[in-house]
Amino acid sequence: MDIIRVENLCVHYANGRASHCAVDNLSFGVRAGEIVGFLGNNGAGKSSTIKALMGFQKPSSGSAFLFGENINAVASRQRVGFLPETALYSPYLTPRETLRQYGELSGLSLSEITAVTDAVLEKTGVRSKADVLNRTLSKGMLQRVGLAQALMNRPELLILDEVSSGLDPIGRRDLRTLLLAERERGATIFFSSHQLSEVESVCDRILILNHGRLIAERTIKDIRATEPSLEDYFVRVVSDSMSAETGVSR
Amino acid sequence: MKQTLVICKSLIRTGLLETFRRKEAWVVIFLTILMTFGAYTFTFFGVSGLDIFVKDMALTAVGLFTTIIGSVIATRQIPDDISRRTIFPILSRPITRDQYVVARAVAAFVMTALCFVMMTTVVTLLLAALKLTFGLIFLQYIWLKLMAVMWLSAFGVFLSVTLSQSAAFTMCFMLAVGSGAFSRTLLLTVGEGNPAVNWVITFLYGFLPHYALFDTTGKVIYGWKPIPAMVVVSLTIYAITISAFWLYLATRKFRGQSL
Repeated sequence: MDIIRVENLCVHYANGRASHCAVDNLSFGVRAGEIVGFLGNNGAGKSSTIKALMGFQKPSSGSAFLFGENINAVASRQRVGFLPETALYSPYLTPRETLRQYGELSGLSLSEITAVTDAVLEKTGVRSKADVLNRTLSKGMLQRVGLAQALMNRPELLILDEVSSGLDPIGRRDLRTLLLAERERGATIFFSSHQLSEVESVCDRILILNHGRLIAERTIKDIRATEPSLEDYFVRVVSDSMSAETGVSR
Repeated sequence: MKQTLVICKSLIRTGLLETFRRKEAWVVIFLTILMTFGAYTFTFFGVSGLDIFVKDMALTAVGLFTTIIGSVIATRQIPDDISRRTIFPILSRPITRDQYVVARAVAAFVMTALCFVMMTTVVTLLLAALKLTFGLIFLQYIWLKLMAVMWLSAFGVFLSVTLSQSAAFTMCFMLAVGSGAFSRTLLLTVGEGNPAVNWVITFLYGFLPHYALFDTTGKVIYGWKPIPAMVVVSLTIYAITISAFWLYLATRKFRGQSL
């Protein structure tokens, strides 16, 4: 069964009288237990797709499903952990208080929250800063807090937008370990990133988007067998797509 | 309903922590003390009979600072979440947008009400130390002010999902502070024009905020007897109805909004 199912999804943004198409007739699926990387240049439509998947952006047409439930159904988000791109968690709360808040919003009891919080803080490397105000934390540390809040409800599906943003090399290595551990636990992971080396080392499959359209969908195993590297493949596929678009417009 | 209460509790707890750590509540309490004590210092220069003046100053400070802090808190709840992008992890939880808006309004109400109660307690103790006391009507003053804060919170949240944060604050504060003047102006003009114009004015009078109706400062400082219970009940019903109306509009507006 597909944990994520997207069918002919279109997202348009109104800009005065004009309309900008951010996602164009996109269809794909993510199976249980997979780690799928969602790639593309800036403005390719990755964040718009993720926003539509989470119900933050109303699709112009098409449909999307999480665990077989329409994304408009609140129940579809029960088993999801979500990390938005560069969120600034309340500067006047500590990471521990932040996690308690998100635990409560997930419907966890206080005893469950207490049990999970320390483990999640340890897992994400925030334990030493658990009781200082968020405003004193670095960007990378805030990103770790974001990751920790996404893990609070022991999600079966993790949707992570620009997950490695702000992380230093050690942070990125920790992130790889964490993602693989989450997969071992049984979670399905769908994330967008510009860090291709990290995508190559953890993903089973990638989706490449350009101007809102899906231009490539391949397994990492397949890419490794036929291409010099994921980076070379990505650059070639995106360049080809852009050239084709320019040709069409001519 | 139970889930909405859990969300409200969570947002109230974190909201209170933020309000006190931002030190806004302490600043308004300090300013209230300063204004009350400042008014009392006139007695040091031999001026007597200043009881009413000192009480007026104290309750005016409480009323004004409650309106300011209430407008600030209510109009920043949702815009703060949007600008920090924390709205995404919040709404990624199994909660509806309606529950989120209602919880934010309730949180704003509790935070402002707590600031008001703290200011009132401090002022009452300070005035008691200066041998100045209020009559029984003071309890009605507190209750009606809490009703006004409920209205202000719902109205502020509605404005914050409709306008930019700064515009929402300006509008909320001006309509709250100027509501008495607007109402009086409308009442003066009714009956002067033709029936159609009168109908429009009557509609506007019903629709415009009546924050000033809840203000019994004058009656408290002049030591009036308590106002009839029926009036208090009517104002309570009005506050609940109008707050529900603004919240309904806020949820309708926020439901289809792209984030």
